[in-house]
Amino acid sequence: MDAQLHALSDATRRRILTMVWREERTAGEIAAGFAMSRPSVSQHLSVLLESKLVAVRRAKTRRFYRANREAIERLRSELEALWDNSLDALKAQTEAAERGKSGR
Amino acid sequence: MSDTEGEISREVFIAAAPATVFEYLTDPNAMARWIGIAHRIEPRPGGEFRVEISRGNVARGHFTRVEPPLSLAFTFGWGQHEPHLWELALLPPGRSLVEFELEPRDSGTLLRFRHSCLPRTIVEMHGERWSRHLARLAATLRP
Repeated sequence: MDAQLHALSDATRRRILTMVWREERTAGEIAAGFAMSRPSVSQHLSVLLESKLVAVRRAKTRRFYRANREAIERLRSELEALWDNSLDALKAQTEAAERGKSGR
Repeated sequence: MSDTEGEISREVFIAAAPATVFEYLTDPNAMARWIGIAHRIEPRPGGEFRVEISRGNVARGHFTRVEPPLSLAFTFGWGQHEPHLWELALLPPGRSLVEFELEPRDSGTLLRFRHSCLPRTIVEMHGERWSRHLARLAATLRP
């Protein structure tokens, strides 16, 4: 958790995440979007890579960065499974309790 | 029943009175029968909601609405999680809202469940939108 929170705590890194959310970009393209040196951008990218919020694809000598959108999809699947299983169990348990109360 | 981006919602008919269902939503011993392995529940506005959903994965938040036996809402996020489930970190405590609305129906209860304010992008987790949402939640806590 700390790696992701740390990565997201910085406004520049959040802007980089937005830039690479829909399409992958090179470090050069990202740097061009900011008044920032390449080494600073590389520093931010390494924090984002470490947090797994950003993934990299290597093609020959170039590196393309993109946001890890699958993480949001996995979060959603986890929650849907949790609530579907829990609501099924809630229904079964409350109905059993009600039958017990009415003595049937 | 239906899902939109940023929200999960379900409708379930339960053949039990709303009061019975409400007890199962707010009493730790009754909750243990359908969700979680350890519970700290203070069902009053501002009270704590803490449920260890499975070993090492703890959901935390605060109640924002407690109106027995028909309405219940609390904020929801993950305070702890297993390392391999790191995506749960995208939903920190207080980040989202869980609501249960109970309606008497045919000698039973129609339960409407909604889990909203879910992040749609990783960036949203810390955005302006979230600040506005927090302000709205704070407003619901005022008498």
